[in-house]
Amino acid sequence: MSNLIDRYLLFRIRTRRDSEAFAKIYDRYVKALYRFNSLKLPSREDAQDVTAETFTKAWNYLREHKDVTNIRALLYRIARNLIADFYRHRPVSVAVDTVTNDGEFASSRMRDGFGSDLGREKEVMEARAEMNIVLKQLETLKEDYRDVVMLRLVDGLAFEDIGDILEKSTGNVRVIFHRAIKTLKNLE
Amino acid sequence: MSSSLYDRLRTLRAVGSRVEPDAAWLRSTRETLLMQAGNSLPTSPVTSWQTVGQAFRYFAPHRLFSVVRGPVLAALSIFAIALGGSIASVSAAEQSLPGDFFYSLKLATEQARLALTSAKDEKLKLKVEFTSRRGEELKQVAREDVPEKSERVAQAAEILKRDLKTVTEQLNDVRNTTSDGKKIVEVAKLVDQKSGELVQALQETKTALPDGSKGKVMEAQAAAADTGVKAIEILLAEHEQSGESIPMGDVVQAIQDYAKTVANVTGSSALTASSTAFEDKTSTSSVPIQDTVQQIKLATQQAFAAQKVDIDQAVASSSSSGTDVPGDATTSTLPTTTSTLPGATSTNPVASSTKPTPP
Repeated sequence: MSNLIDRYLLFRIRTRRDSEAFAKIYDRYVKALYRFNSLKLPSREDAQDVTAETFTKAWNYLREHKDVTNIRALLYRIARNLIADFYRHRPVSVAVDTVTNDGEFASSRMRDGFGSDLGREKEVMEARAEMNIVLKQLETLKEDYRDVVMLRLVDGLAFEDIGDILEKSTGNVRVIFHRAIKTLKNLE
Repeated sequence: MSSSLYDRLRTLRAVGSRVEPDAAWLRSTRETLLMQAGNSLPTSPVTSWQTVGQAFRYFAPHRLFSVVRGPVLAALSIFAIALGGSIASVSAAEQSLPGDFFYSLKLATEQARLALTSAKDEKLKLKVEFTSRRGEELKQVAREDVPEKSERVAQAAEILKRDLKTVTEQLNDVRNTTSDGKKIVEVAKLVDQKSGELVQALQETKTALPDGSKGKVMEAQAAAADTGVKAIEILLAEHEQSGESIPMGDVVQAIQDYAKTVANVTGSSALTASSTAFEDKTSTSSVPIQDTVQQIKLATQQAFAAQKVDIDQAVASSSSSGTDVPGDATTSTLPTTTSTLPGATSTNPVASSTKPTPP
């Protein structure tokens, strides 16, 4: 059903030149993408930047490519690439940056009197740190395995979308996931 | 790190799902995005075809398509083979002759064409065309050199005879049901012309055949002549009903042509006489012409009856002599022919046989 709504919105963009339809797509996916980005990037601002850029890039891609049918997979694919680019250009000690940036950010927002509460911010910061550790551990896994495990377990995506993002068949993704889980249990 | 990696990943997900983006940021990003998108929209209009294409792209159930594709392609190829096969076999059937495997298919195809024609005169025209095909087939079968030739000739002649009968019936039917005199005259002329041609063509076919097969062909020929007479009768009747649909000259011409053709074929002197006698009678009233037509009809029937007797005799004598004296068949046939021929000519007061009366 959600897929059908996406298709309808894409159809509107294609045939009616409807930018409002793209705004609807934004409404549908911005939160999920922000969450997707927030744990993988060192700061809230980085997550916001990457999320905004994801949609801009998706819009440009939609204008140039007429073969997009799965907008969700497209958005996640762009976000993944942007995150990879982010670390490619800033490969230095992420964890430290994360803590300082977010600490400052959180307190400044507290002063401004809006934004989420400090407890929530703290939790996210801890989660980022945990994520770094987990990712380190997952480095022993094959790249395919790691991608599928992250997209499935952390981001909670459907196998079909993961297949579209990684350009694999749904069945293949399923197989990779189950092998990866087996390997995970052997790691401990 | 007491818990497993799997559980920790799940925990990360739980934390991640609680992350809420800032509402103000959400709004401002949305506005920026909408503005950017609006500015960069292509301005070229979308054609309705493009719309349909896009609709197909986005709403066609892709998974269903891939599931359905196999069976659909299979069904299509079965249809293609079946239809391609039927088209190929019909075209093969077009060339087939009586006794061939595909011949019944050819007849069935013709029947289908007839069934698809509703107007009675059109139907008759089609039937006449098919009947002349039968004549052509008979000619081809007669030319063949195959063991079962006589059966094939008999079959072809039988079908031709049956078709000629149908043509005659349909001609009557058209006459009884059609009020348009011109249409009646048109089909009657066609039938007259075609039956004349058929009588002529069958003569050639007949002379090339052995005695055993001549009888059947002659019957078909007689049927063709009969159909021709029927057509002439109708032409004459139409002329009597209204002189507008067909002038007298045309009727006389048709009668003369017919008499000539049949006289040539049968050698009937009575018919030859009536065909020539007409030339000074053209201006007379139609009553004597009607009589003449009746005379011609009778003469034709008798001429063919006489021929049939001749052929039967020839067959009977050749078969009996064939078993007794295989050497010289012609000499042994003569006595039997002489003994029966007078009887044959006696039943035939108007026409006389072409065959020279044996001594």
